[in-house]
Amino acid sequence: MTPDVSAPRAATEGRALGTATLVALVVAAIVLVLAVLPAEYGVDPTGAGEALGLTALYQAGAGLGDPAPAVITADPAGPLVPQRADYKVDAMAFTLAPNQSIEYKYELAEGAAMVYTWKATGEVDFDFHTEPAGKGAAGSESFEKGTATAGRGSYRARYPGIHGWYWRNTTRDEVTVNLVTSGFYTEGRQIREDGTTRSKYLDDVTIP
Amino acid sequence: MTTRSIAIGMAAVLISSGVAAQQKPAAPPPPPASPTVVYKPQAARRGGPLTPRTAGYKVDAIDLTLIPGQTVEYKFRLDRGATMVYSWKVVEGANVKYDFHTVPDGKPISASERMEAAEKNQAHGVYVAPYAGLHGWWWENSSNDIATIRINASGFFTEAVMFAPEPTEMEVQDPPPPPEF
Repeated sequence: MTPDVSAPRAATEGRALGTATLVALVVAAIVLVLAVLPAEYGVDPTGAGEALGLTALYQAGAGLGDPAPAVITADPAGPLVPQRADYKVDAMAFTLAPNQSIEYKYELAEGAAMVYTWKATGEVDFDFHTEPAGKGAAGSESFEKGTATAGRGSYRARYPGIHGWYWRNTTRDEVTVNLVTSGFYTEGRQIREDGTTRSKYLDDVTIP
Repeated sequence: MTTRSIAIGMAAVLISSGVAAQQKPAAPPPPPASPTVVYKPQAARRGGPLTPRTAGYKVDAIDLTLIPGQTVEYKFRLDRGATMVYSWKVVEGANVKYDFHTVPDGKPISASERMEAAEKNQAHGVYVAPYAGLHGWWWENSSNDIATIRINASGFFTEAVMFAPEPTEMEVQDPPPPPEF
């Protein structure tokens, strides 16, 4: 009569399987720490990634070691919107007497964008608004209004026209509004309280 | 936030002065701070054409010179939703190969996305970062002569990193102050 060995054998197999699983997990963890983290995430806790040259893979990013298709056209609805010419830069300072106001707007084509920052030495009322081409003030839209000492952001024109700010000094003292912008506009236009305007034709961006 | 609290504060002052005037009709009302009504604030609408930022606005300008066959990368650190405008052009030399790609924060490099690629001597555009990370260019001088690429960018980036191929952090500048007009 043969002895029944199935129970102890199953136990041995179970133990072997457990050991194999453990070994596999340990190996996987080592590979993760030594190679995957440095190459894929740029995380190199042991320094092995650096020694093996794997961190360079991460640092190189998508550009190197990865044959690029020769031409990719930017998705029109995507985050990158190509423009035809150099962007322009502009910087202006307006000094306003108490209760005095001024407007300064940019000529932007449909889809043209700009980034801006302005700071005032005192509180001002402001209104970022538009005058659509061919419609004038009647078609004006306001996109942000308030009372503040600073404003920053980006703007992308949805239609051609002039797009910019109205500021009014709400304090009892003189206030200076300092504006700096960069973008794909062609012209800045100052509109004074008496309705007179003054245009500024802007320079291409250059190395400072 | 500040704008709203200021406006509410001003409204409260007007209401309380109105109440005071009703109780003591003989007292002359104090002269208002300005002759117009309280300016009604209007916050920028999400998804609208205007996207306010709470901090930042930097400018950067650099010339990179490549020998034949050499490559370089120059990328900007942008948070999600941060915008930049850029212009780059070859000021000396012929067309260069380039791509515009991303390195998302906290994700494997395989999550990198290529937004544009071509062989040109200039490109201009506006970019709104779809996620936080590094966003910028890889260029290769595929000609037999020296090529110098001039890069200009303005916007809501916090730093630039050049890979040649070792990474070098590049400082970006505050814009110069405006002249009096």
